[in-house]
Amino acid sequence: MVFSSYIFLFVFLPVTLLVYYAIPFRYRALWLTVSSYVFYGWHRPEYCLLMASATMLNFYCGKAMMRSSSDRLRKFWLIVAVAGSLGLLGFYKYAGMFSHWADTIAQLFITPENGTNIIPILDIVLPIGISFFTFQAISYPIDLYRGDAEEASDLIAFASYIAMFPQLIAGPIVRYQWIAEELKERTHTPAKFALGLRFFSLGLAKKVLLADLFALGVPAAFGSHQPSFESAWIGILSYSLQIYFDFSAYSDMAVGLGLLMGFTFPQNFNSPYKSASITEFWRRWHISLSTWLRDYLYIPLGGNRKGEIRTYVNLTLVMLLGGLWHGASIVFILWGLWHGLLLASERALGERHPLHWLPRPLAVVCTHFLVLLGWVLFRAENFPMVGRVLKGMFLSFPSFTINTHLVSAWYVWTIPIGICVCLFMKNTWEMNARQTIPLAVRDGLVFLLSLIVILASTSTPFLYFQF
Amino acid sequence: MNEIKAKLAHLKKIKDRDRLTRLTGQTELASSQTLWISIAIVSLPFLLLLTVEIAARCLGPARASLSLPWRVYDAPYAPLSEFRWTGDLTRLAPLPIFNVPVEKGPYPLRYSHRITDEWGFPNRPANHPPQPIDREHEIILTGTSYMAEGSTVDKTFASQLSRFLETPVYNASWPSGTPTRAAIKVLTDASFCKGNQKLVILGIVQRYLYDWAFNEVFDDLADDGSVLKIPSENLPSPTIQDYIDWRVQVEKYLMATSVIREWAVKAARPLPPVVFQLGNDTPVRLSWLKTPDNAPMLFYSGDIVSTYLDYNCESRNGPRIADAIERIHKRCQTIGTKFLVIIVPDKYEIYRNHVTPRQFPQRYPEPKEQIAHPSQRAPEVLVEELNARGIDALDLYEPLYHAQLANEFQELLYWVNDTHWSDKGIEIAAEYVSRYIKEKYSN
Repeated sequence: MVFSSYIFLFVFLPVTLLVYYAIPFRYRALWLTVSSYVFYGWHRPEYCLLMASATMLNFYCGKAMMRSSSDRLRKFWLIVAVAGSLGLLGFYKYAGMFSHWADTIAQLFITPENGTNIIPILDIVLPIGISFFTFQAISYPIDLYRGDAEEASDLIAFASYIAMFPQLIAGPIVRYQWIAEELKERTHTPAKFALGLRFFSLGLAKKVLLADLFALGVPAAFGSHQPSFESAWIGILSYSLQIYFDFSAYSDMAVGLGLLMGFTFPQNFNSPYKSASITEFWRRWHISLSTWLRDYLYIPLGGNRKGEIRTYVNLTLVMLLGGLWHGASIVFILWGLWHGLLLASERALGERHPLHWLPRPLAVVCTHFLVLLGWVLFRAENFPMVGRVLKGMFLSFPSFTINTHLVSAWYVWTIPIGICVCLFMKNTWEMNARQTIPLAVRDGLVFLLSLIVILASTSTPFLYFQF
Repeated sequence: MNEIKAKLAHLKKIKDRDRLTRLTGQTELASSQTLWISIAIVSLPFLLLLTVEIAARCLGPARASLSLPWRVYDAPYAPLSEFRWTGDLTRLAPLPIFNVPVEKGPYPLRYSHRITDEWGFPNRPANHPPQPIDREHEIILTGTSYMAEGSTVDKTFASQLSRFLETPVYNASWPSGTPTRAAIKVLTDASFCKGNQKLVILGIVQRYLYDWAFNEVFDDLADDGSVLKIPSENLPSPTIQDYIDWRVQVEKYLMATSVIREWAVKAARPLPPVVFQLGNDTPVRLSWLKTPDNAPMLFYSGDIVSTYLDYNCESRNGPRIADAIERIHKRCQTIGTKFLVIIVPDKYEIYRNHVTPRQFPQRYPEPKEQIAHPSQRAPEVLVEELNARGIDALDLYEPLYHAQLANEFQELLYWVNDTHWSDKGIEIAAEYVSRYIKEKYSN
């Protein structure tokens, strides 16, 4: 179910909130679990079993771990939980890609008969949000093993943590330790509700009024066989703004929905285009993923404790896996590698790195440019498309004309406005949260306008659903 | 040691969440009254819309009915029901120009009114328990939505053909199904049809001329025309696909019958057009030319792509399509019924000049063979192939294209806001087919 859809806004959300506040607190975890499974199963009901399996696996492995007498046994249960969760993720997300690769390699040596595949290619429909809830689930047994979290005593509460619909399919990746207390006891105050409404309405507006607007310019680069200089730049800048507002919107809406039900989720998005380096970018973009990768992958790999070379290798490897997490495709791996190499170079050069000695405004522009190059890999479906867009961007001459069949002339002016919004405006978390009537009127109008646009037009799903 | 770790974790948790805590702290600075008023201001418009929507659905006039969650009857629609709607492409491309009530629109917008009989097919209801359809109708028309729909029940292809032939034609068309789903039901389900008709017509739209659209024929009919899969008398078990179909139907239904959506469409008219502008990856294309009413025509991108890129029959695996149709033909021979295939051209084929290659030069290059071999259109090649196998087949491209050339803008043969043919297009085709039937099967 998409947040910006009729069925979510006018059916699911009102019913969920109404029942949630009508029932006693002790039943709310159960209701949250049920409603979250409905939310998830609405798309493909059979994948609820997948989520339930991940929940049971991690819950009971956690229990077994805490009852184990020896460290060896504890480690065994940890491995079972992590391997089981990664196995689910690996099969549903990557089996198709690996079977395709295996078939391609096999065809180098064996000629197939009648154009069939030598190795059957698995065509598995990707369960939405599997990467998010798997990572969320994995964090629990690891934290338990490390002693960073308390054992979950209630299966229903744990199931509601894994399945919680506000952040189920596009983050933030919430760790059990962060909300364990709130699962047991949380407050529902007018302040939280008011703030939740603000986050939700501003997030919805970002999605339908901005992200969907900038989506219109993306095909100028990525839907063309030979994008011109102008088309390529309009397309990639549009995509950088689309993904920014799309992800920012979803993060805000997730936080807002969490607040409406008394939960305080961590910040996942902090004006990343204001970053003056790639290191800073990753402290601001998808914060819950970057901290997850840091705590559960980079540090266990040795972090920066095993020498310089190993640090660079670890950084690159972690980002490469981060790229793979986003999608089962070589272009995502290359996108991760690109960011890994940039991070490693910043680490290696330290103060000598150009981004460190450039004036901050210039460093911000350069960082944005590097991120933009990464987005070409991220958005392209294959190598030829990457080549075409890069050729348009760098090997074409500007003609100072716009193909008005692709974008309207005045659409182009929305791009610098969008960039200015990213660079100079305060984000939702930086605004003064003190509630006043004029601010409420603003939020109400923005909410109403968003609803009108949703009802009157079609909307694209959130980009981060696909990961 | 564990205590230290727990403390560290707790500190970390606080650090990670302190900003939100700060925000809620700031929010709490406001008075309780201000907070409640703020909540009311933000949520009131939404609650009002929700109340109106619920009230309209509960108290307002009955709208289209929604079929049951699962495919509980083997039929295209709920039996004895009534449906009304306007063009389907406007749902994909909600351009303000088309957001007008159908009776007020200056353009010939698609409007469909359908009632279903006791079998769930688009015919006038008989209001009696389902009985085999043989005795009343000598001709049965099968196919998809093109065969099923008209702006009124009397304007469908079956009705117009019936008028020209002066004999009843049963409309067994199955919108949203595969091209052969209805034909297989007609020819295999004895509880529906005992196969005593004189003629079964299979109408296929050009966009379905791909081998994958005919796969079910190979599952249900053997190459000698015998039935491989006897339709079960029991209700079919629901599958995941049934659920998905139902979910999509529910979402469409809710939007199509929403009162507040109608309001929103009106309220959104002054919004900048860019909000509604079509991107290049939407499934809909706008025409280059406009009609005299200044309305652009809408086309499916898929039609354009398939017509350009799969211009030749080979790329659509024409021989396999012919094999599938031949099985249906043999089935008809087995039960002593004549069989006629008609192929309806896509809107894009008839109004090609409205979407020129120049408009999308990079995405859809003009295939050279299309210019070099204009006679090698996939439908034409398929018709030749079918005729060679002794199967009667007609391509409706010629009569429709000539009618379009002779009368381009006076009366459109396809709807402006939709890819289906209009009542006029149906009429021309029905007349052409009726002449063929009279000549061919005069006895």
